[in-house]
Amino acid sequence: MKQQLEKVKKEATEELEKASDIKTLGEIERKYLHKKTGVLTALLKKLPEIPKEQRKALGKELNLYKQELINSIKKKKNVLASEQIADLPESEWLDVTAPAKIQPVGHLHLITLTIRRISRIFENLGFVHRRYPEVETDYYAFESLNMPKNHPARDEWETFYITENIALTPHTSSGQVREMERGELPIRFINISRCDRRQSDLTHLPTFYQFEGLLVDTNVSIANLKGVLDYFVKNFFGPKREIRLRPTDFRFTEPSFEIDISCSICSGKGCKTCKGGWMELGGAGMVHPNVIKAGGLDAEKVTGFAFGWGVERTSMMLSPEIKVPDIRIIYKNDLRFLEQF
Amino acid sequence: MIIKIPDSWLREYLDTDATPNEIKEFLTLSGPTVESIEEVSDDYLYTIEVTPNRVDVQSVVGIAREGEAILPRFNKKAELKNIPNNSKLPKIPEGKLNLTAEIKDPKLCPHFLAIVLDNIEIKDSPNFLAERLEKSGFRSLNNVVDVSNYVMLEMGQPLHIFDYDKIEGGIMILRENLNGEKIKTLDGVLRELPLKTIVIQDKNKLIDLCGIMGGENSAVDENTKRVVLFAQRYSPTHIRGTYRTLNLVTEAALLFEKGIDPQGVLPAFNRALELLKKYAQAKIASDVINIVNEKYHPHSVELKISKLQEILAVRILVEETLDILKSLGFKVSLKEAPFEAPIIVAEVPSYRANDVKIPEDLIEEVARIYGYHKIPTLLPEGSPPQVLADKKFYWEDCTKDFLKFYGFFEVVNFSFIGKELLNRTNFDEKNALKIKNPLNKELEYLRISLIPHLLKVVGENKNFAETLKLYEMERIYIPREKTELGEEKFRLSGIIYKEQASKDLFYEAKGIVEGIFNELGIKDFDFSDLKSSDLKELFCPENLWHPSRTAKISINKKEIVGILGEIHPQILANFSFSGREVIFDLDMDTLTRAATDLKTYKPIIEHPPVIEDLSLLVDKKTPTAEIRDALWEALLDYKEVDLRPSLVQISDYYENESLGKNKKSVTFRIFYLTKLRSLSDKDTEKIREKIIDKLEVTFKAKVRRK
Repeated sequence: MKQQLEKVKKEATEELEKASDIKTLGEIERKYLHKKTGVLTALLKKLPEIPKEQRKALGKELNLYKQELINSIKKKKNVLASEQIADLPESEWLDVTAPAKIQPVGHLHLITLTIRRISRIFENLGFVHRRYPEVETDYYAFESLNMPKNHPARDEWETFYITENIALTPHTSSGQVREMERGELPIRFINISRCDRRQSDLTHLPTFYQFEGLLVDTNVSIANLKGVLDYFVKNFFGPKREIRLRPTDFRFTEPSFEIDISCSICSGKGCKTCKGGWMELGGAGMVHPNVIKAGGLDAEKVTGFAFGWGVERTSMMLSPEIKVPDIRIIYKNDLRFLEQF
Repeated sequence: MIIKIPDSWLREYLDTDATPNEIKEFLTLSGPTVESIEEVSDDYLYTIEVTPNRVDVQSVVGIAREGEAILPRFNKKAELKNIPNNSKLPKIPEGKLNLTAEIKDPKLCPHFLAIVLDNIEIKDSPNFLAERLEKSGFRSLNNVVDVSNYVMLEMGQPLHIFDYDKIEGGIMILRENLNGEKIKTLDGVLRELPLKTIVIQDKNKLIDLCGIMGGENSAVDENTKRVVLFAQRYSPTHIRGTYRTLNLVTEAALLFEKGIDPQGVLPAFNRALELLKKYAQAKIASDVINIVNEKYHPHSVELKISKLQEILAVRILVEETLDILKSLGFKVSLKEAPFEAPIIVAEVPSYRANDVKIPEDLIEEVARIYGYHKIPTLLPEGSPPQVLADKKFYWEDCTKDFLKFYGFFEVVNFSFIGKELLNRTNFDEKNALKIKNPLNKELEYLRISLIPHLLKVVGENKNFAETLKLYEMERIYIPREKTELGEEKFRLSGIIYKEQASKDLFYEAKGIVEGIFNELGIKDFDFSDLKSSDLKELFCPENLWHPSRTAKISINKKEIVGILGEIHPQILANFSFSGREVIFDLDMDTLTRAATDLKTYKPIIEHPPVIEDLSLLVDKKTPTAEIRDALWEALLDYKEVDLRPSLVQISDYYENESLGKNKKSVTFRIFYLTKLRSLSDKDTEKIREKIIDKLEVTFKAKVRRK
């Protein structure tokens, strides 16, 4: 047995010396020290067979060696581990500038992105997103909005008709009276939807998206309209942008306003890209009493304001970089356009 | 409506120390928008946008009136001067030429003025007059014609001048046209007139297309010696109907259609007379014909100061309000009201008669002159809305985000579709809503499906990529009874197209659909063979879908929510696809209603499952889902332990000739698991036997041993 032990010692020492990685060390550990199959374990198991007088000394030596081997392996492991860590920069070098493995991610449409940005801002002010018919009766599309029969918008040159009394809404305002008819005050809604008009050129589309905000309550003022628009413009376009209102004429509001925002380039001083420092954003106004009446509400007691404009144009005003020479490209669905957003 | 006004002309009637730039800025803030100023020779030219309600400022005098009201609010001096306002009929005639007039229907022409002038000498206009006209966009012709345009620009009242000697019989009959009547207008075009057109005839022929353009046969020319000066108001709806139908837009028509100043006809007439005398040596040669069919009575509008203060959110005083209204030409007074502030009574000036009618109109007047820029900026107060946000928008966003991160591009198409594209995908245009007045043939119907456009878009883009993943989420329009609105359904249609595709493409698309359901919290869904009886409910024509690669999708055991499948190869041939595609077409209304973000928690079982693979040989057409369901049932039927926490997956699936004709192999991976204890091999052996028994009986399945 003594000889066997010497042989084991010699072999193990040699193997340990040769071992150059942690995996081999594991194998050595397993070979000699495994609880069932280890070479040293086997020797230890054989101890009872040894004559008594030698057993004690041999047992002591075996155990001492076992401990020594455990320590040597551990020591070697530490040496190897620190060598490995020292070698990491070389052994695991990667070219971090090599191209990424791109995951095939798709794209939301520019219109969806813009609608999301718009509606989130108004949601913060308690405006609730609603959706109304795109194909609408003459009544909701025009009549109830204080637009008389001979109003230019109602004629067949400007609006698409299905029948004499059913039109494709040319504006999101068609939702106003439907919302009021629910009879629940206060109203704060934002309606973002498709509209259609008989037009198609570099700056006009037959189908386009508009959004419309409506607030109806007691004690509503022009100051409140300015507050909401200012909050929107600063959140959407940036904290330095200002708004101004100009007089204009819409049938469904009185007074009516054009909303301008200060130009991002010259901050309102006037430059080549804007008209005297301001850019036209959209329309707004205090809801006309006839519209409030059409909604079944008491125009003496409640007032409101409404505002709205086109989504496509707003998306292009957001960033001067998104200037398309022909707005129709937005609906062309060319992948080379879509993947830019 | 755009008008161009030279600064020198404006200053003829407005005495102000404001610079042209100040005029531009201040008018824009409180009145009509001045879009630009240009420097032209020694003058400035304002380009001004006039809104449809403000026909009163569509003239030099109108803009001057606005300037007088607005500029002093910006600390600028501004006063009107020399405004032509002679409202007396011209004096006794110097000659005695005959002219008679007859108006068939008084409603056509509320006010008619005409006079014959003699001694006319046709020549060029004086320089200043010709230049002002040219700057404003009118061509200078001669001293007579120019006067009518000049006065129209100056005062907003259109005028016409006839050659008296071309009016047969010295007679003018104003009436509605008769069917089939034609007139050659000044621009040399022979026009067939729509009914309800106002015309004037002399003894034998039509000589004027009233309010829009004169007749060629009665026009002033270089030989003209005697003229009829002519000013009136017309029925706005008649003018509008005619010029829109003829598509003949003239300055005069745009003024008349909006209803001009009822008190403005005579002053403009007198102003033109004065200029003709001065620059064309005109002499009055007849009585004035002055027919007033509609007497003008001014009206008043009342305004409560409390209402004004509420809308402006400013404590504006009664005194200031009155000053503003006066500066705009209103005659104001106060009416005592019990228990509240006196009510403001404002008599509307004649040139605003059609525009200012209700208290809100007065509020607009006061507010704009007070200055919108001086109104504070405040967020609204008040209680929160009762109507809560509809969660469908949230679920639509979730679905779009999911698709984005799985590589899908969102496309957006017009609401319209043409017959050709509908037919190309087997849709019948008779099932679609038809536009009465489409822009063109490609935009004649409303969409009944999003699929035709998707196929078209794939066709247009397939050269850019080997794989295309696209979707659109929008409305489709399902017709109902003729008198009713169509039904608008929100739909999601997506397509995966590959140049090189195996039938795995179907399962890839199925994975996307299941992924969406998972995202929406819909657990109970089912794919089954599509039957032709289902097509109607799904708004699909026959033969749109592949006969044996199409599944109907339902949720909660009954509601059909859509289709997953390939398009019929015959239809694809119409789009010249070289690869293959799979489409999913889902009803978003139903899905967003069924969607939920409620989650449940099942305790995690710490002991490990026993995992076994079970390979079965079955007939090729045996639905795999049914085998899986039967297997699951057998697990649940096992009564000795509760196997509900177990899991069954399909780990492998293939067909191969070596398996035998019309056979396939399906491998299930079963994770045997029970809540209470670890299962032993003995347990699973017993369970497995039960399962195999059941599957062998139900599906004639054979267990394949490896």
